[in-house]
Amino acid sequence: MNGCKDAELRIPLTMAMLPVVVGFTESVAKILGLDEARSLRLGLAVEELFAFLAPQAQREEMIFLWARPGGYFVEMVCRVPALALPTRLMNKTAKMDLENEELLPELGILLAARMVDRFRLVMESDTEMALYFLVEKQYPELTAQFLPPPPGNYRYHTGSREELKQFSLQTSSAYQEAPDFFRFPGKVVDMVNSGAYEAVLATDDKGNVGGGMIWMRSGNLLEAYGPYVFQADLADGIVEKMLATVARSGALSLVVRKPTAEIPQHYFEELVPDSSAFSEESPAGNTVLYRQLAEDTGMVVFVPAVLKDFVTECYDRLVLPRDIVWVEPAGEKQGEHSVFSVTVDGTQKQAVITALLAGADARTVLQDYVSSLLKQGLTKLFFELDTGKEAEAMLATDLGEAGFTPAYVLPWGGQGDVIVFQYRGGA
Amino acid sequence: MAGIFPPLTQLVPSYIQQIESYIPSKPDAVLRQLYRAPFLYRMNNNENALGPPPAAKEVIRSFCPERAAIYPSGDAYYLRQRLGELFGFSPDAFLVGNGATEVISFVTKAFCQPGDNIVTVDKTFAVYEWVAGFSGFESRLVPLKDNGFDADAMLAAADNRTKIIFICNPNNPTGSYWNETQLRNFLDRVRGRQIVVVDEAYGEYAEAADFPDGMKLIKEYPNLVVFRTFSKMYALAALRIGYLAGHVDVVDIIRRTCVVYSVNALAQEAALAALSDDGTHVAKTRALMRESKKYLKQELTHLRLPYICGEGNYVIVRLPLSDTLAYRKLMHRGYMIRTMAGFRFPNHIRVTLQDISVMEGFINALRSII
Repeated sequence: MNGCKDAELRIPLTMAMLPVVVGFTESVAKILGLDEARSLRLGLAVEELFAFLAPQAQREEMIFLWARPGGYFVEMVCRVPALALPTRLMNKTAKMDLENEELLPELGILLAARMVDRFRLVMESDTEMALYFLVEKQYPELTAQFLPPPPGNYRYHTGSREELKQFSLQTSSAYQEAPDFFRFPGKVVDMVNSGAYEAVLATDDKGNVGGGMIWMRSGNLLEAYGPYVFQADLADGIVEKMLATVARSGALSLVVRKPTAEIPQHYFEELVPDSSAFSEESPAGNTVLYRQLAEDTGMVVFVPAVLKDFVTECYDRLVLPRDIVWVEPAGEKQGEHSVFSVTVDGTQKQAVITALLAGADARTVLQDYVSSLLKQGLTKLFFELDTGKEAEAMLATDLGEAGFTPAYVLPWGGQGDVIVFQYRGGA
Repeated sequence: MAGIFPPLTQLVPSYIQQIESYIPSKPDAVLRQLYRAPFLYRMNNNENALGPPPAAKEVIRSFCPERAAIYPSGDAYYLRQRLGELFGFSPDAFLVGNGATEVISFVTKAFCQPGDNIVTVDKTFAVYEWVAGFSGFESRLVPLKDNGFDADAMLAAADNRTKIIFICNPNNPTGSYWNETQLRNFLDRVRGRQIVVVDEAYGEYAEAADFPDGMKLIKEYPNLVVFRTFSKMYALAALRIGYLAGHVDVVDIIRRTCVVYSVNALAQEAALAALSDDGTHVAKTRALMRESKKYLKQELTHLRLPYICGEGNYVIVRLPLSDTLAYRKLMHRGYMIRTMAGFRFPNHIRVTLQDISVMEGFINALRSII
């Protein structure tokens, strides 16, 4: 243990160690802030993974567990030998034939992926993979009636705990399209205090919050929300302060996918070439706004050849310097199974799918995802294809056949630029 | 036995984990190809369009290749002798570095220890903040006031753990400066409690009658350290050479953190030759800058683009669009400027002054993108 900041366990992959692993996971999860039920969920996910791997493990193989608190969540990282994990079951849409006894051990892996709020699979090397199981803490949902703050001298800064809570309440009551997390002010405080998110608020010296923005970093990209403005003429100041705050962060770009009507657009670029064809209309009208934070000195991207016209138009319009490798399938062997990850925003009825592993069964798995997500009432489905990852380019045809069409390119959105597809139906 | 990957999270200090490495721009030829630019004018790094003084050019031309096998003077012996003669100090009052950026590192390492901080402003040369960051020291960044340094706020930001206060005079990128009275007042109020670094990288460009010469104040203020560079006015940027000057006892402390032999022989000799210029080079450069600055200001006014123009061979311009988008569009047209988002001036670009023909082309390109 490291002052309750995180905890590690390195232990042989043998069934005799299962109680130790489960006990460790549940205990640490509680210490790091999860309640009983959520600690059990995390414990169950790790238990199922361990129980699947241990019987197959070689004698001296180990599992390395690293539990870390993220302020509003606890994440367990499991580094394991790259054994033949049934990766297809990591998909939340995976189905199993429960009558087939030979497949029953795999059921655990299916359960593990479903026990947690977020799950990631990363191939660390040829011999090691890491599974990230994340469970969020529980927070009370709070609501308040929107009360516009009085005019005054507002200054722009990070904001205190109470100011963040007030900002969250005001945002969720004034902006119906704001993300889910604003309904949980305590969560927003933990998101910011943990460093997972940053915020800029406009406040006066009487404790009034006039507005603000919040953003998180993912690799080279900052994903920002807002600006949410409760008092006129504060939007420019909020955006300027936000840009000054991130100026020397090393991030390369910033995107506001659902800009508010108040956003000063001259700081940004429009990403969607034909907003009328994009069903994700935002109050700002032009759907997705973006800006780079540094001078773009180019990169190599792997782009599906079938998207040549679309991507060329995007790169020309955005004046992006790119060395493009046009990827075409040439009958080469692919991995058998695909694994996709999905992030759901229930309030917005939206889901975003990304690839963890691209395999030969991609089209079927994608169709399963679409079917499952539509059944859950989600109407806006997106897929993000990372042009920095060679293997993902092979997914373009499958995406088309599963009903997705390219909507826009998000520069530096992943390892490379990200091509955002939207589900149009019909597959 | 296969190597085991090191546990980076345990080995790397938290302050290093929190920062990003600086990624320099790609070579011009690569950028030109990427942007499909017909040509490429460098208006991004405040380089001197006239090139080095003639004597320095001659030294570079005649450098004997066999001498590349011989180590340079480890402490720029002859150059320090010459600087001592020029400014009337002991040669030991000077420390020569691989560009002025290296001496920033020397000073920071010499005076700061864990828990200490430096004070500077938010919109200035980034390297003070970066060096402090990757060394594990806090940077206290004071907002500019009317695009200039705010003495009161800087003093208020300092505490008993503040070891260095950095003043970029004239400031990059605003061109604002403290005159001698303001600088003296500030040094008087510091009362020797901190090292005050006055970075005069662009000092030779300053033409204002009241622009101060920091070198002349060192004898009165032993806590004052002055930075100068051969990269800007003397156009030896590719050779990387700059220096600091201060009280001998202060410089003796800084020398303890100095990496000797970091300045190559050609740089030392070219710098020495540059100092022998009779003033013609400086005068010609200043004349070009005056003409170019006047033209640029006039054209920006016609285009109704607000600008900030002070001392130095650069002007910053406020655009009605994202500065990083403007960079890409201007690169495509052959003009490489510096975006100011990283200087906390979003939607501003900094333009290095060039000769009039280049400035005319730049204005045409700018007009086409706004």
